[in-house]
Amino acid sequence: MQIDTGESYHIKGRSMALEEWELTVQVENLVDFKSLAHHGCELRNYYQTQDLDDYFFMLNGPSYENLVKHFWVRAEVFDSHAARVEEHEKVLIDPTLGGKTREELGLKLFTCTEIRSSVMGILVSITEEAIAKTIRRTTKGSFEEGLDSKSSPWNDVVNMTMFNSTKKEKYYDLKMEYKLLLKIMNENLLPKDGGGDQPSLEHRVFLHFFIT
Amino acid sequence: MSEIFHEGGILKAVKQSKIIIDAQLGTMTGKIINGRTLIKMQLIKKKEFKELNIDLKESYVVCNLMDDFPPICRQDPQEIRAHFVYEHWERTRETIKYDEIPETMYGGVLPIARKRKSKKKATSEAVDIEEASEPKKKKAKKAKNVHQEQATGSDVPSIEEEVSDLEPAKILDKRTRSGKTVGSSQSLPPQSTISKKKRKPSIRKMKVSTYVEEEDAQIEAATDLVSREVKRKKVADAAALQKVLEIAKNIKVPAEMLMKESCGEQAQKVVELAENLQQLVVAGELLSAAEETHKEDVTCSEDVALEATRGNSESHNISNVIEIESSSTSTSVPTSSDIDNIPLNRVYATLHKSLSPSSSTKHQKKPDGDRYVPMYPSVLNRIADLIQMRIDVCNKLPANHPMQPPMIETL
Repeated sequence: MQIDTGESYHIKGRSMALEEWELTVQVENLVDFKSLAHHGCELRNYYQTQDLDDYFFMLNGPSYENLVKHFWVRAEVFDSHAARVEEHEKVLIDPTLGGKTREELGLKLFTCTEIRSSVMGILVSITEEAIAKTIRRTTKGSFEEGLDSKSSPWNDVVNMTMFNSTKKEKYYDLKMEYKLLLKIMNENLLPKDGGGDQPSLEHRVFLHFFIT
Repeated sequence: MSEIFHEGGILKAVKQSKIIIDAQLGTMTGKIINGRTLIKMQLIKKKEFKELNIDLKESYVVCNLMDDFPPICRQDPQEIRAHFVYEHWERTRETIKYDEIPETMYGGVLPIARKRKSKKKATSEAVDIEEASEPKKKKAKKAKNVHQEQATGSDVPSIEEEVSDLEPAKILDKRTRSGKTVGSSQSLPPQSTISKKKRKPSIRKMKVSTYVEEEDAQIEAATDLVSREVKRKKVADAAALQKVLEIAKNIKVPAEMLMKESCGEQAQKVVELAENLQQLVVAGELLSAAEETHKEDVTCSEDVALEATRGNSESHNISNVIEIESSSTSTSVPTSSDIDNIPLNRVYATLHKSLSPSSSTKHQKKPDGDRYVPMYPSVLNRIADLIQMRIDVCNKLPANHPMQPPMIETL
């Protein structure tokens, strides 16, 4: 995360129609692996293999709900497309600047996608690297999007992992450990409000990687 | 996100501004997934659940917005918490509310409590004596603290109020976190309380330095001879005075000896002044009589003449008196027996008056008999002549003439 301290005070307008009090902040839950293990639910190994020990250790602390709301109401994604739009605006104002680099246009270098916002007048930009550093993980990983829950071959794989069957079973048929893994995933890793007993294919795939 | 803000330094920047507190930041902690969650999810029965001492609890320990945050948690014994809170207040003058104390320490360990234990064991008797003497000071500060809280009138209950009720100084001497008694504090013999005696107001004696004493001695030695001589002289004078008084008592001094030789001359001057004054008085009377002659009739003028003659006779009497007196003063011839007949105080009074004549002194009293020439007869004769002349003139005038005096008919 980069904090721009060059400017003394920066007032940034809201980037969404929602007000701060209309947002609901979902705070990550602490996981007491010892207590769970004592009651026959050993989950630590699943997360150790994924190198998420430090992440769960980090969760045991305060969260600043109002700051988070303040941040997200003013947040905007600054990706490659936004960078190009920014350059184009500069050229429209002054056509003589056409064909020049961002530095020559007086703009910062674009290295990666950022989430830009302002907290208490301080400019904040969050990058993928900053998030990885915060959760004590590397930026490496794979993600597959656009899965079709009906025709995707991942259905059989996931069902085999979760229910030990190619058929899709109900939540009730899940093991205690898997139920808890699903809950922790919904609370901390892929935060989701509402019921968690009917996960999507993406969530099930995600859980499959944890189990296996 | 909160961790990102923390790591990125935003919380530090907010802390430096000293405007926003934790409540405004919306500080909170998430729920805990533990054995109770399994019960809620109906994965285990309630009977099977067992709460462990090492179970995680919600914590605010990582909060960096508080300066000098005490390393305590609610798991600590009450007396230790109270001591920490009180110590924190003494050091920073900031109160710690009960809500600000975390439930558990980060990681579930209480390192500070262990440290305090070891410190207690290592304390020597001397240190314990010092600690034993501390509660007196603390009580005084507590009183101040209570006053401050009353002044602010805060409704929020704070740990500090509990501290005042607990009296940590007493409790700490008895128990530690583990409930064991502290040997050092108990082994101490009960200290005898020093009874305060009221100071009696005593007069402070000033110390005289040595050089001042030496200087005084030198001065005394130097003045010793002088003082002796003066004393001798005084004694001699006193003896002489005594002798003179004895002699004076034995000697009978006549009254005329008390008079000075210059008294005669001064008396002469006084007589002369009296004569001048007398002349002025007579002139004044003459003028007034002349004015009256224009207004009064013949009979009145006769009365005036009679009065004038009466005044003349009186003045003769006075002059006689003065003559007698002057004869007694001016002439130093008379015998001493005549003077001795006059009381001494009267003689001295006349003498004194003559010496210092005041403005009210009557000079007629002491005319000189030899030089005195009375003028009354000639003046009166002259007045009588004038009256006669007027009567003669009036007789020649007609009866209705305005210059005729008014006739007063008898009743």
